[in-house]
Amino acid sequence: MNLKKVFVLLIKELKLGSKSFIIIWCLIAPFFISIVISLIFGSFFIRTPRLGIYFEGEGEFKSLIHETKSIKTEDYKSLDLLISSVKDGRVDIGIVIPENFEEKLKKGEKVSLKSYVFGESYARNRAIIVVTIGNIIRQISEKEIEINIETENIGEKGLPWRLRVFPLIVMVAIFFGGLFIPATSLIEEKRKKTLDALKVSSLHLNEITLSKWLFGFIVSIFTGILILIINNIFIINPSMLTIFTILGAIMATSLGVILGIYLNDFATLLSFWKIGGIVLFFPVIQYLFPKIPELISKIFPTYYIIKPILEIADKGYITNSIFYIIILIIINLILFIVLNLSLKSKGEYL
Amino acid sequence: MNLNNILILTKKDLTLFFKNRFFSMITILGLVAFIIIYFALPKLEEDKIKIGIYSDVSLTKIYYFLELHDTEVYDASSIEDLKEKVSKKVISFGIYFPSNVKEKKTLKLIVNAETENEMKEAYEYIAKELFHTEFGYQLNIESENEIIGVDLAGKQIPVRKRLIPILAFFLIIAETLGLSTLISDELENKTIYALLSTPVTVGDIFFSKGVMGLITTLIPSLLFILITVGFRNFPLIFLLLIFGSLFAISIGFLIGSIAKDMMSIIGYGFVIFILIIIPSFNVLAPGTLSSWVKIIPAYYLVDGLHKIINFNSPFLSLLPNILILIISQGILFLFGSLILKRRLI
Repeated sequence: MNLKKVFVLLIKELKLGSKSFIIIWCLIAPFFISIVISLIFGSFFIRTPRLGIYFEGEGEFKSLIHETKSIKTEDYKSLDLLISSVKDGRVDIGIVIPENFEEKLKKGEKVSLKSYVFGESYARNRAIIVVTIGNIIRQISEKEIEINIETENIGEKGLPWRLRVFPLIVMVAIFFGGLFIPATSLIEEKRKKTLDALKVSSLHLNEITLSKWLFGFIVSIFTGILILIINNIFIINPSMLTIFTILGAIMATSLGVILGIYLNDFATLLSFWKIGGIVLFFPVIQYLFPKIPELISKIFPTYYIIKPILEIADKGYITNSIFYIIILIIINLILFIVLNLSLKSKGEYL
Repeated sequence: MNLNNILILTKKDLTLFFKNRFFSMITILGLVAFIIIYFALPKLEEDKIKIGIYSDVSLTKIYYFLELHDTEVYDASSIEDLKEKVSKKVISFGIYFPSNVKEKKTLKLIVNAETENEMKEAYEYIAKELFHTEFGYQLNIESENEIIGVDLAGKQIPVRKRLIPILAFFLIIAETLGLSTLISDELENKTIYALLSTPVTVGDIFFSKGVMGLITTLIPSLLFILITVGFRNFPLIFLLLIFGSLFAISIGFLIGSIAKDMMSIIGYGFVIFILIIIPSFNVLAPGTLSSWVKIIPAYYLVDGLHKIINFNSPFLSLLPNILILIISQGILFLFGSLILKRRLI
């Protein structure tokens, strides 16, 4: 193998690739997808009860309700807007705070409250909103009794939602470019018969595939580390995170090259992504739904990339990094052997 | 347009599709994977707060209060029992009322460490409210509640049932790129010109591709719904799936017409996929996204299926969804045809 030739081919890949739609998309997609995921899953997993309020007057209630953490509140300028928001499910309950509401409370007079409840809202959200409002009303009406609450926490602290969706973002960042770039590049060369032209030159097939592998690897590392930097995680432990991103990128690109060797068209590659994606992304699902036993995830190779990265993101350190590194090296070695065997057996038909 | 030509062309495309064993096997496996996901998810959705109570004093009023607010109560036999149920997440949290609770005004709250801080604050409010309710410090408030929409409190739609329209939609759009490939391949390999030199017309070619697309998008989604939902509301579901498939075909047709090669199909395809997938999250978690998702026509397919499957909505309430799907697919087909005509000239 001539490294100079590999370098020349890599430069060619970088020059031509930078103009290709798929490469640009592989660079942009992880960031675009991470924003979408954060927006969607952020509100999906927290499920903090949401209260919409239309104030007919002004008063202390407004500032007190906004200070609470147990519910999210949103003010509306008109009753119609409040009702429309309830109808769309943007808030669980919408309430109207009448004029002189606080005066009546302080005088001990009976107060009427009108509320609009979104039919699909959870009973738990409704109950929390009711008690939160009750708590504030007690504060205003000066009928609040000082109650001491001693809280005891049982068990271990779980992952916050931000970290629960993070594996998905990391996986997209590492695997999207890492897998698609070498696979699509090889398929494209096969389709356009340009691979035949390269093969009749002094180039060896290993050099061609290595250049494609390197291109995918560079993009995968770049997007993977950039995602970690954007999410303020890279700074926690740069050396360890770089090691695991590199090992993940090797896995993604090796898999991409293997797919590129065996598959002849993009439709089949997309079909693989559809079903193979479940295998690659299963550990991600486990973090999103913690009820799924972790033991199942351990069967999947990507678990050994996600787990250490997430442990560093959560705790700032990793307890048994050597174990994960060894497992990943073994997986990558297996992929390397498969890749070489595939090149040997399929090489002449490419 | 010649029906015989269309039949021959559709047969050709179908043969090509199933000739690729991997491709057809993967399509079947995708369907199987979605069915497994559906059956692996819990049948019921827990939407109530489950409060565990252990008290050294006799409690009466709080039970009525909790029942009024759709809250489940677990009477623990001891504090240890309370802690065990919290750690195993059988209950949301536990409250211990000691014998001197009224005098000392002190309650013990037992929460799982995994509970978010927002929820812990909410549980404290609940504990305080229960204290006030039980020991006579009630509010002088009269409330009038109006439920908007179907009241599902205590009988929420399980996630797996909410997922049916979404997964069916995924099965439909997953085949979109396949159709784009068929069109793009004919253009890229110039086989379309060979076909046009025969009595086959452009209309025949694209109609046959449409039929092929309808078969590959409709059958997996229909099978998925039949296995998960059964024959309930079948005619309506079938009707909506046909319009949904036509919508997906129109997207595939447009992508296939614009794209120069497979690379650009994937490029355009992913952008469009992400855009049209977004509205489906609103069905999974209502109110998650703002009203702007309604400008994406795919919303009306997922929303329509959701209405039929989970609310047994009648045909009339689905009419706006169907009309929007028809209009949007008409526009997409029109754009696709115009672009294609320019490319063929």
